Amino acid sequence: MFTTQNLVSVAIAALLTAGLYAVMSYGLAIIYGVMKVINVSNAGFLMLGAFMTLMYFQWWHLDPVAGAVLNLLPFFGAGWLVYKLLVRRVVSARPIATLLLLFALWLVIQNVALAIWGSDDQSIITAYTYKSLIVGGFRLPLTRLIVFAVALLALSLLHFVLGHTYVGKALRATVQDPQAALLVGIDTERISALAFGLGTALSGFAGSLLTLLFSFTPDFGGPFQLKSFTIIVLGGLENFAGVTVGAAVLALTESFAVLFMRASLQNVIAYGLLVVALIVMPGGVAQLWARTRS
Amino acid sequence: MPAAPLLEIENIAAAYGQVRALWDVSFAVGEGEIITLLGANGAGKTSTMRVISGLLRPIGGEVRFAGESLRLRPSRIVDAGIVQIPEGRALWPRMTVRENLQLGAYTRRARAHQAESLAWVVSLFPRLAERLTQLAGTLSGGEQQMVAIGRGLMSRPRLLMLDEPSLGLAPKLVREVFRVIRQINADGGVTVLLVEQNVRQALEIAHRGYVLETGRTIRSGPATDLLQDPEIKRAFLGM
Ligand SMILES: Nc1ncnc2c1ncn2[C@@H]1O[C@H](COP(=O)(O)OP(=O)(O)OP(=O)(O)O)[C@@H](O)[C@H]1O
Ligand SMILES: [Mg+2]
Repeated sequence: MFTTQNLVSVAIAALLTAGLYAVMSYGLAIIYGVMKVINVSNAGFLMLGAFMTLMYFQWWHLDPVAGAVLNLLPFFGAGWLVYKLLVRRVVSARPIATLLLLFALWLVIQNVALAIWGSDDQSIITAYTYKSLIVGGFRLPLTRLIVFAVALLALSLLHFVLGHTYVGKALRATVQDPQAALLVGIDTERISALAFGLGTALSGFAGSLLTLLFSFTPDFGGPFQLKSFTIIVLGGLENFAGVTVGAAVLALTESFAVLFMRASLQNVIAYGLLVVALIVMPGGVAQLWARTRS
Repeated sequence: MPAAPLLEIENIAAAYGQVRALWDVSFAVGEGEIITLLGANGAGKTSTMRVISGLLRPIGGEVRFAGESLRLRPSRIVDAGIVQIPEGRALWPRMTVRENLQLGAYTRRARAHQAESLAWVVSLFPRLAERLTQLAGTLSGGEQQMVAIGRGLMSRPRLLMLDEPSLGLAPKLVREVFRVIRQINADGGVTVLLVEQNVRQALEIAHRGYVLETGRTIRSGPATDLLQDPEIKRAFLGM
C-alpha cells in the first residue's frame, strides 16, 4: 500500500488541508498575541460562520466562497463588540476570568444555534461538490482545491496587512511589547478591539470554507478548535509565521497517521500532538528551530 | 527659569496598587532646558516619568504641559508632544530597525513628517543607516539605545524624557549618548528631562536638577551649583 504514488497523494491531501487549518487558527494567534487570551469562543463563531453560509445558500443560492467573503464584515463587527462589551471588562483580571467568559459565550452561541437550527446534520451541496480534477495522475477533489486557493489568498492578504500597513505594524508591535507600543502613541486598546474583530472575522470566514468539505451541526466547532490550539502551540503562540508551519505539521501528521490507524482515530492525533508540543517544546517549532541552529 | 514653564508637576502622588511610589513630587521644566532628576534607587524617578507619559495614573496632584492640564491617555500624550524613552530600550525585537523607527512616527502629526524625521535620526546616529533592514533584536546594546532614542525623536517631541539612556554601555558610547542629547537640545530645540546613573555627566550637560528622595522632591538648583554641593558629591558622585 505504500507506493510512491500513494505517499505523494497523501502529502498533497495534507498540503491542501493545511491552508484551511492555517486560516482557521490565525485569528486565535492574533488574539492571543495581542491580549494573551485564548479565544475559546472561536469554536462558536466557526460554527456560526458555517450556518450563516447555509442561510445565504438557502436564501440566495450564494456559493460558500462568496459566503465566506460576506461573513467578514458582520463577524468583524461581532468580534469588535464582544471585545468592547465583554472581554475589555475582565481582561486585566486573572486570565481564568476571560477564559471562562469566552467559554460561556461559546455555550451561548451553541445553544442559540440549537434553538434556531436544531441538532440535525446540515450540509451544502454545490454543483462542484462531487467533481474532481485529474492532475499528473492524481485525482484532486475540486472542493479541496478551491478551499486551498481561497485560504492561500486570505493568508497572503493577511500577511500583507500585518507586514506592510501602519495598523498591521502597530498590531505586531503591540504583540511584541505593549508598553513600548503605548509609548509611541499606539492606542493599544483600539488594537485589541481590532484584533478581536479580525480574529472573529477569520473564524466566520473559515467556518464558511468548512461547509465545502464537511457536514455540520451546532456542536461542530469543538474538534476544529482543538486542532487550532495544537496548531498555534506548534507555531509558538505569538509567531504569526508559525501558524502556517503548525498547520502543515498537523495536517501532515494526521494524513500520514491515517495510513497506520483507523480514520476515526484521526482527532486523537491532534490532541496527542498538543500534549507533546506543550511538554517538549512550549515555544513551538520556531523555538525548536532556534535551538538546533545555535 | 524661563517665565512660562513647558512642563509643570505639582504635588504628584502615585502608587502601584497598594505600593506607594510617589508622595509629593513637584518641579518645572522650561522650554529649551535640560533638566536632570537625581535620586537613589527606588526614589521614584521612573515612576515620575511614567506619570508624565500617562502609563501611571496619579492619585493626586497635577501635571500641566504647555499651560494645559494633562489628563490624557498615553497615545494622546505622545500626540501632545511628550515622549518617554524607557529604561532598557524596549524595542520590538522581531521588527526591523526601519519598522521600529517608522512606528515612532505613529501619531498623525508625526506621520506627515516621517521622511524628514528619519533623515534627522540618521544624521544623529550615522551608524543606523546601514542597519535599517536588520532585526532590532540582533543589534548591539549601544545600537539598540540609538534606535530607542531615534524612535522617540520620530514622534517629533517638544519634551524628550530619557530614563537611564547610558545604562550598560561602554564609556565611549556613554560619551556619544551625552553628546547626542546635547545636540538634540541645542540644535533640535527639544526640551529634555534626563535620569542618569552617570550623575556627573548628567549635571555637566543639564541646566538645572532636582533631587528625589522616597517619592519627594527635596532639593533643586542650577546644575553647576549641584555639582559643587558637598552633600550631592557625597551621595551621588562618590566623593
Ligand atoms: N511595577 C511596580 N510595582 C510595584 N512597585 C513598584 C513598581 N515599580 C516601582 N515600584 C516601587 O516604586 C518605588 C519607586 O520606584 P521607581 O522605579 O520609580 O524608582 P527609580 O528612582 O526609577 O529607581 P531606579 O534608580 O532603581 O530605577 C520603589 O519603591 C519601587 O519599589
Ligand atoms: Mg528607574
